[in-house]
Amino acid sequence: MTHTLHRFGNRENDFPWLITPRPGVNTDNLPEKLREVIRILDEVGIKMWGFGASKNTLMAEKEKLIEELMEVARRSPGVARLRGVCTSKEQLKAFVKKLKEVDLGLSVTVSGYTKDVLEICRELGIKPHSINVSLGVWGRKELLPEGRILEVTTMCGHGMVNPRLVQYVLEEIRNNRMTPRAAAILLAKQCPCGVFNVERAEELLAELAKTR
Amino acid sequence: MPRVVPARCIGCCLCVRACPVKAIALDTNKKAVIDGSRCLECGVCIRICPTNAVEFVEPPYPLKFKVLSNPAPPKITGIPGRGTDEVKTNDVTGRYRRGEVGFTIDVGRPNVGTTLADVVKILRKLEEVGVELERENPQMLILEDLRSGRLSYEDLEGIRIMSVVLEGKTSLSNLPRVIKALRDVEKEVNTVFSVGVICRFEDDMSIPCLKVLEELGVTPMPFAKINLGLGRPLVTD
Repeated sequence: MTHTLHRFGNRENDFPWLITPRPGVNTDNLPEKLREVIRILDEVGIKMWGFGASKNTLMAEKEKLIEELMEVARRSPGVARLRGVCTSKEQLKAFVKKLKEVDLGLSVTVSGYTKDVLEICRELGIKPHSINVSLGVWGRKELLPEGRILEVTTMCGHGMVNPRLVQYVLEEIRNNRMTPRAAAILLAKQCPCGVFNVERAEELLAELAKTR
Repeated sequence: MPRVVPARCIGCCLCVRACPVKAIALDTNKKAVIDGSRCLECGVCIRICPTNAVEFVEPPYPLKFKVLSNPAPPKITGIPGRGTDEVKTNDVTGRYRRGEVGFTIDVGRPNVGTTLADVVKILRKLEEVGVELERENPQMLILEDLRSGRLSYEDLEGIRIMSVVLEGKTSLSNLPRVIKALRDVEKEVNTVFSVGVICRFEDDMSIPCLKVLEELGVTPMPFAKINLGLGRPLVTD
């Protein structure tokens, strides 16, 4: 799956990350390892995350989500894949630094501007292993939604945030019936993986609502 | 196709607005109804409903392939998930070795959707130019059923899904043939597809596929998905 790779627009403060256990390779004591990751998430202030493409922190109470994650980690470790998003380069660096220090042995993948991610790797003495380079969109591009809507919708790479819903919340913001924050949260709830960047969406929606 | 339980539906319209293909409307009793001919089985309505009024019902064959639209597809295709971990666990699986390139081709993304007929056009083109298709991806089920006659070309034309990710790999030296094939097939399909090319970093952090792409006149986007190499035991060869 490549649901965090092909995002549109400015990604200066947009770094989705994925922590992926591999059954039979590094899933011993997986619940404990994931608890350690959650401790780090709290430490560095990462609020948006989810697991197994089924639930994110906006869809369930955090304690309940953690409980479910632990159960999944015990029962089906291959599905206990944590995903989330860092909302600044500094936050990403702090997160990766701590992950390196605790050395859990789980695979960590980060999407973002290549130069930014590699710069962090150099600064932290990390040798990145592999890369999936985006070659963008091919085919009948005239079928794509118009304008900058894709900057919002592609934050859910699975296509769960639909352009009509974005248009609807933009209209609600314009008519002062919804704040950009509330609109961003409503959209983020469509993306169960937890990689939708609420902060970025809030800024984008506020900006887009000013134009027609 | 998802089914609405009328007794639980409160007519809030959340599902109507969230559905990516306008497959849901309210009836005269202000209860949601789903148009099966439009539904892509993405599961948005099931997840968003505040009263759990929408239930999953397993679609009959061959419409079951539509569940690939769902980020967490119900386990009915025979292969778990929509694809493999591709680059995400390459540091411990070694799925893509030095000298190889992998491909992830998201057909229908972003926000356009696709028929399985277009998906198969791309798969066949990849096979023609020597791409080794990933066996742990549901793409193989579609191809196998087509070859066995269980699926027909007419079936493929009639099955519309949100998106599907195709995966495969080949040698770095074969990358130019694959890019040419993708340039050819992009003119033959009635959808969009997002392309990712995977390779190992060299020890100096250089990216071997970039030089080849530059020679081909293909400009990569400035962003990528990077496996940091923190998995253990680490595959180093």
